[in-house]
Amino acid sequence: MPDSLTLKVAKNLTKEVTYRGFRGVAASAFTPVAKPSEGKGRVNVSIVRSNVLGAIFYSIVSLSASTPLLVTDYMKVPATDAFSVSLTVLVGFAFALSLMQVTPFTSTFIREGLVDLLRLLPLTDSQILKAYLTALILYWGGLSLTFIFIPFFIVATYVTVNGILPGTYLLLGLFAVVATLTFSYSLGIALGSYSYAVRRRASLRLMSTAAWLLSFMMMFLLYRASSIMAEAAKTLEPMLRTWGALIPFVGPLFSAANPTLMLGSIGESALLVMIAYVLAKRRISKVFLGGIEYAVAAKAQPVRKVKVGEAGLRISSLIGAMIRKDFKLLSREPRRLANMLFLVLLPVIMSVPVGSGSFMTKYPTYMVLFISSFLGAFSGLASEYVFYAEGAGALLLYHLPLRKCDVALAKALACSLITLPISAAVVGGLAAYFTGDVMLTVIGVAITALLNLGFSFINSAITMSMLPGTPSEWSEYSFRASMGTRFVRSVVKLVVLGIGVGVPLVIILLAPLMGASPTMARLLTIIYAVASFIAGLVFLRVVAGSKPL
Amino acid sequence: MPGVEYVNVWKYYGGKPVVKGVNLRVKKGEVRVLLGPNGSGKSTLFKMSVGVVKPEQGEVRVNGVNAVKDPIAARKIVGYAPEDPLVYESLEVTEYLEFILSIYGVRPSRERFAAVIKALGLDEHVGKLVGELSHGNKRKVTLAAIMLRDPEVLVLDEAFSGLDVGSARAVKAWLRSKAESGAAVLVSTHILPIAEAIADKVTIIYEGRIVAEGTPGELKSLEGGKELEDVYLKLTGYSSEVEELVKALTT
Repeated sequence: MPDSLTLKVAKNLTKEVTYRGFRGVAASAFTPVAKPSEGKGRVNVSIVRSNVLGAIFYSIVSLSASTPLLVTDYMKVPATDAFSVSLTVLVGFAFALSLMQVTPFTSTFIREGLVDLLRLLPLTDSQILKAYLTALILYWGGLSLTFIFIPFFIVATYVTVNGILPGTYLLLGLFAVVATLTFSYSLGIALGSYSYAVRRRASLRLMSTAAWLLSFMMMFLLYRASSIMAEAAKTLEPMLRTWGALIPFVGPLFSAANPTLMLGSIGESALLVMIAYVLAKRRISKVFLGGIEYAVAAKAQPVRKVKVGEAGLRISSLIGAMIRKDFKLLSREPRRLANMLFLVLLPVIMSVPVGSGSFMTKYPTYMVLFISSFLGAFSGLASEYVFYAEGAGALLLYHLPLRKCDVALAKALACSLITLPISAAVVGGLAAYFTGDVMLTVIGVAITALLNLGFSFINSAITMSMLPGTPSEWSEYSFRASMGTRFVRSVVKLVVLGIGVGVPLVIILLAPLMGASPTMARLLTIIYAVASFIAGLVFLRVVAGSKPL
Repeated sequence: MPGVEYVNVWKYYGGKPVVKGVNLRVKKGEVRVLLGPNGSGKSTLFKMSVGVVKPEQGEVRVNGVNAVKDPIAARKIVGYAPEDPLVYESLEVTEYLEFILSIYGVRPSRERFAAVIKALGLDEHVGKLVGELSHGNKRKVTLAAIMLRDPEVLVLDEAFSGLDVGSARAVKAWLRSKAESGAAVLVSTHILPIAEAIADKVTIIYEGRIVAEGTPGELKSLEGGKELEDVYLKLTGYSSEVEELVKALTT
């Protein structure tokens, strides 16, 4: 257990990261610490509070993953395969989660100058490092991550004691857990320490956005896999039997029967851990302790050369300027952008299996209508993220000659300009490939466009109407807090959006039952899409309103 | 018609009055410096000029426009800079300026842009992210946006905070020239020599009330021709007890 000074520094460090992180993007559903508004703006942090919810949730996931181990006879799957496949899913889960915890914490720690603050205090380098790691593990929810594995290993030990699972697997499993956590923590520290460079370099921003997006998608897929673990074990097993040895950390489990291959697999995992560890160590000594202050490091980044005498300013329309600014803000916050893109890709992930299945060939019209409506309406909901991108900069907007409806319109259009091309391309691609019907493809794309814009407008207008009464920063948390205080509007918002996504489903399900022809279903969905678009415009004017911000 | 006018303005926070019946008129062509200790109500008054804070009682007008009833029109008239620079830290300096000027629909010439940037010593910083700048340079960026807009009324809270000597001189010259061209200028500062150098009139506010008003010379005569600092300290409740406490701390 760390000494009392380390605990004290770590606790205050976590409070500060939480407070500053909620203004930005560090906090997430995976950092179960107290929110700043609880206790009237005070951040309460404790080891129990920071870990208990995560521990319960992860234990449930872990227990669900251990079910196949107990029913191997019934499933007719060898215990070794059940253990290896389940642990692979859990390791993937832990990898994504720990990256999502460590990277934003470290990023905020560096970017907000907290490391510089600690270095002003009479603390040694090792005390700073200990405090940072203690904060990360004890107060930022790191401890709860271990509960992804604890129940699983208890069950695995029970199965081993009963002679169902060989003990070697238990040892190889422990190796996989330790290697994964060391790797993901080291990688998270290294990635987070580059936060200052990410804002500046387009290539790093692109990579960072892609990495976040991958993490979100992995979380989603793994979550689904863990909830259907028994089926997943059956489905994944043949694939993993062939390729499993190549997967880092869990590879040795899939090559246990072949010692040479297993040693190679262990070597590969060890090498990866070593690389990540060395990288993290170098970043820690350079950025945390090496005397390079964040400000100095940031200054060392390449600065765009502007010759003032030759440069002019690009002045655009009010809405155009708002959209351009939002694009810049989003592009420089990879996690935020990834959040937004994930909301577009989520229905795509969910739609593609449906759209490419036998339903599409049997009921092409209904399927295209459904997918286009679903993707259009759902992707329009991402407009909230354009609001969150404002952060502390939102305070400026209150001082500018802006009407609420102008801001809401700009946010909605910024959202649609990002999400609509992706949604329309997916709908167009699926419809054209599977039906070959040009008219149906055009209708599908048009419905997607109308619903995306309509729901973007509606969501943006309601979000605007729910802004805090006084000038304040805009972030996920400030909006959630204001939603809490404006309960009725929150319910209205949920109902409107629920109706929006549900109506096309009703049309498509009822149309065949009521004997309506596919042409009638097309017509009804088009009418619904046009009505949503018009409703969106009305919402902008009436709900967002023309009052000044 | 005055450029900035506060008529019997009252403002309460949590039931406590922070602005108590303030009457203040800044004429066009005048530089008015508002002096007062921290928490005396200066920033609250300044925020009212763009309708961000609304008084419970009284009226605030800029160039005849009621800032409470029509804040958008007021914001178009006033160039307001708060004490803490309001900026987007993820935007580059030029991107920030482009955004602000686009919102106001102002299209400055290339020459004017270059002149403003040079005058404020921002040449080396225009390609940087605003978040990478020091506090003083962030303030310069917000001032640059106002200079490029060239509004009819200026309301600048702690106008000189964080500015280096050269930039402070440029800002002083700009404020005087704006007033000479007919703009109403209302600024606050804690730097009394600057206040004396630029002010046509000085207003001292203490605990939400105006306690003195006049030209620097008139105010000095209140204390028998002593320094402005002496007048200010006397009117804002500074006592010799405080000096004794400080002395006690050092011994």
